[in-house]
Amino acid sequence: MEVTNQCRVDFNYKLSPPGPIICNTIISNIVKTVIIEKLVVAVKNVDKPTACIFDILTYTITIKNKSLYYAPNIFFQDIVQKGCQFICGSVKVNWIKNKNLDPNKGFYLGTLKPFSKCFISFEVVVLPLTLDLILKNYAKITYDYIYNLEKPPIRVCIKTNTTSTTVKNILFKQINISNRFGIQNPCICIGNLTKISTKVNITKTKIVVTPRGISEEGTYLTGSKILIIGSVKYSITYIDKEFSRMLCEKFIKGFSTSIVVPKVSGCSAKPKFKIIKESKSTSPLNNNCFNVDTTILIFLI
Amino acid sequence: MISKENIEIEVIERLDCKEKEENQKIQFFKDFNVKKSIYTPSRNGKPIIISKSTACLNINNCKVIDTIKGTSLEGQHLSSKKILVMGNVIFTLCFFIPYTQDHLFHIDEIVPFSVFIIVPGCIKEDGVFRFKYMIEDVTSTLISKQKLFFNASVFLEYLNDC
Repeated sequence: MEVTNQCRVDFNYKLSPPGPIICNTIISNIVKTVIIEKLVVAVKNVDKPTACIFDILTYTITIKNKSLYYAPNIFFQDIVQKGCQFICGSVKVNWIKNKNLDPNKGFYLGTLKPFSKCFISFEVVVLPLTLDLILKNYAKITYDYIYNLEKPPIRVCIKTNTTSTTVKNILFKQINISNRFGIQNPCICIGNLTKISTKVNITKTKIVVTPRGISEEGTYLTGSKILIIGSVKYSITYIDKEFSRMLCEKFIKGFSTSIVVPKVSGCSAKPKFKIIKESKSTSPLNNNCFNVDTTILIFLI
Repeated sequence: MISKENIEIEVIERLDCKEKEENQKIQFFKDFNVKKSIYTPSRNGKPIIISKSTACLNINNCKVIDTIKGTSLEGQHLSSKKILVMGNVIFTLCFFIPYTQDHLFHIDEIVPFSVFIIVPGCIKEDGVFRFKYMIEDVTSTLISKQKLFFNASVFLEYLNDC
């Protein structure tokens, strides 16, 4: 569409004071403004409104040419936001896989015919350390707009709507570590214990491949789990009445647990964990034997 | 109690596990860890270097137990029958002791386990019980200078005939 504008000025004048009034009109030059119509509209969708770490998000972008004209030279670019990693080889254009395309760098889609559509989809993996973050993303589409056949086309850039995915904390495990201690020294009994402190450490983590399925019991296996191996350091302070002194003994015990995570593929990021020690309790079993229970909550950050 | 003669076990190969994804969903399984911490086998508290650790699984006997039927709020579903499986995992650890003769030492450690699998209510209490297992991972690590920790991640599946 074109908006043209021209102004007209009417004026009267006399050549000499007794002479007749002469009316005249002059016309200005014509100014033209080309209004760029939106030939192309693009809508972006994400398959998961909430996700967890290691989840795979699939973004689908629909580009539609709603005009009667061809939209040439369509260029698509989608910069994957921080906290996500693009999975190489996951780009599909009109449901056909293309291994060489990268939405971060962008790629050409050619010409879109009138009233035709183009579908682009790609996958990203949510990286660790994105907890409670909202992953917002939009794509940019650039195309040529010909407003005058004699002049070079202008590049028009449009943005899609913004999609958002909230990263939720659903990868956690609560475990109870129970260890039994015996007192060998006959002069010391349970009553002599003054303080028992525990310290939980994670020594090794590993991503393990498992089969997939849902058990009758309700356990869900996705194909990957994180194996966590750690240790608990116990320092037990007691009073040695024989020599009237305080003594501290240190022990170390191991524990292991696993957290089921979404199927990990093509992600090399190492997960990090946070441990919350929820409770610690000591229960005497008999006069020279006691049990220390530590309840911990481990979650991925 | 079902004796060892009536229990058949077979290993799930990693390739099988991929095929399974497409064919059918597994239903009666348990994924669990078998662990033990022991003192380092070297004398005089010398440090050791772990070279390799492997594990194998044995099922000694199993037992069909009656439970209630229902689903808990947490998501645990009970089907009125469960199998209690008792067995052991034999860890084999190969290690070096630095500054000694260039030998590769090895120790075996038998760790018993018991685990229950929720099975369908129509299970027969006689006949042959078939299981499949997969040792997903074996890890041995030094948690302190004198303490060694073994862990095996085991996937055990009951093959249902009824």
